Amino acid sequence: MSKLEIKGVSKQFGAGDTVHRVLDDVGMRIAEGEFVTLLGPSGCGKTTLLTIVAGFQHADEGVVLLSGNVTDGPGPDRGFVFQSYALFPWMNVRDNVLFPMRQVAMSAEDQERRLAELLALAHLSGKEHLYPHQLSGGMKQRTALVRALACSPEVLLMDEPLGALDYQMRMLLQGELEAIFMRERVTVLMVTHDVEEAVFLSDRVLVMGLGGGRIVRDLKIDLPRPRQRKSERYHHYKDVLTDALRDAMGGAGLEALERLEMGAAQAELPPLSVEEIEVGMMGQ
Amino acid sequence: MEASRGAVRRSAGVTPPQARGKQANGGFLGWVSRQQWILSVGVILIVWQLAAAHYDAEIILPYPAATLKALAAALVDPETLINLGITLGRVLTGFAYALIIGVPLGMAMGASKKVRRVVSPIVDSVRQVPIMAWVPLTIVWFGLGDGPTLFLITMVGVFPILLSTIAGVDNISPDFFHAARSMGASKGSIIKNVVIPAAGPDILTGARLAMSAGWMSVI
Ligand SMILES: Nc1ncnc2c1ncn2[C@@H]1O[C@H](COP(=O)(O)OP(=O)(O)O)[C@@H](O)[C@H]1O
Ligand SMILES: [Mg+2]
Repeated sequence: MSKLEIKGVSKQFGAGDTVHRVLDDVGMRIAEGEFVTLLGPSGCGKTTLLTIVAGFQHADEGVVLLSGNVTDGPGPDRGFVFQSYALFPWMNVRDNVLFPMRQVAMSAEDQERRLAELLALAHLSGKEHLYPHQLSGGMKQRTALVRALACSPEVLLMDEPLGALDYQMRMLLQGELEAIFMRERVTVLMVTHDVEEAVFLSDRVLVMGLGGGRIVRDLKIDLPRPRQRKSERYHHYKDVLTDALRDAMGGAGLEALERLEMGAAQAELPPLSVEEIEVGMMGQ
Repeated sequence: MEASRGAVRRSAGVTPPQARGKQANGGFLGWVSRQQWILSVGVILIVWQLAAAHYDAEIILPYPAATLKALAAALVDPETLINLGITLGRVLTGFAYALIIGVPLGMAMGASKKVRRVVSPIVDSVRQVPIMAWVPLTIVWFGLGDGPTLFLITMVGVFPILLSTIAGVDNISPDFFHAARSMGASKGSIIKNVVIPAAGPDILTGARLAMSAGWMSVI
């Protein structure tokens, strides 16, 4: 049985003449312990699908099954990592990470033990009294990740979890994420538009097309972990997915993809300061 | 979302903008140095003295010295102090009612479109009534005691509190609610851990306005 199954999900926005059918009969199955990435161009409906799985919004048609049970609304069985982190700015790292544990019946002792374990995992030990505005982008990202993992959700959902970081920090964090997932062994559904990220982290990549969000490619990434970026097979996978992503844009071709990438680059934040990169590396 | 991400990142390492804003308008005298204070009080006294000398008529503008003497006399007069205490008590009571009504109602209206659609027309029409127009009605309702005064203080206080609470709740990023719910938070926990801390600064602004409006309305 699949850990997570999405069955015939459709979603449209607007009404009358301006109706926009973002998802049209989308389905997929994810096995227990699998790291699956949903790769697709901006605007193809990745976030919409992921938030439907999370229960933040309802599908017009179709269901989401978690271990065979129909889900309804958000719950701690599905952890979520937001692109904007959504750490509570009025809580320090400690209280942010403890928050999910305080919502369930967990003894104070167990909470402390789990907290220490998570902070160590995220290289945040000693940082528990800092507030989000005092953290670098990478530290915020890792705090958000371990907060989502705190109560061992059945599935972890991540929406462009590294999208707010610059190139170097993203590479670095990909390695750390991989290490964390090799330890925590959780089923993951991640959304990204970054081919490199998809290949580095995933067991399987689903390429989503524009127009209805149908899955146009389902590619198993058969590489040993921890992943090496230099291998020939790694580059082969990247090439295959780059092509698939181009096709997914509906024949719009390379120019559209390039325009999209340039747009994404412009939207990015200015490069991180030296200190911020160092803070990130201290975690290594 | 792009913009807010940038803002959050840029504020890393320095005082968050929110905290800075709070200090800056935290107290009128908070950031005024002693010299500046003496200077401005001095200027006021000199202008006052000159103006009073110009008119030289107690009824139009008393001299500063005479006013200060009257103030000193009032401060040691037990009756004035008792009246001051009574007024202060009324303002605080009315303010408490305004908080008790305004904050929960504002939260409900901020959180639920349905509640807002139902309650907004009532609030908006009541808000248009000039405050003095209530006076005769309240005397009929409550008689001549403390009732009318309390009602008026509550009335002038409830709207700034209500509106700022609605705005405060409205401005909370949906991601915070989604995050809390996906971590298993109950409604009560969301109010305590998300709504109040996130909307708190806005509610305080409204409360400050309500306090001064209440004080003005009894004088
Ligand atoms: N709440 C909404 N109302 C109207 N349109 C929406 C809404 N959410 C998403 N969309 C539209 O659905 C499409 C897919 O959005 P999204 O799922 O965010 O794409 P992605 O995450 O793949 O970039 C976009 O065209 C977007 O404008
Ligand atoms: Mg998206």
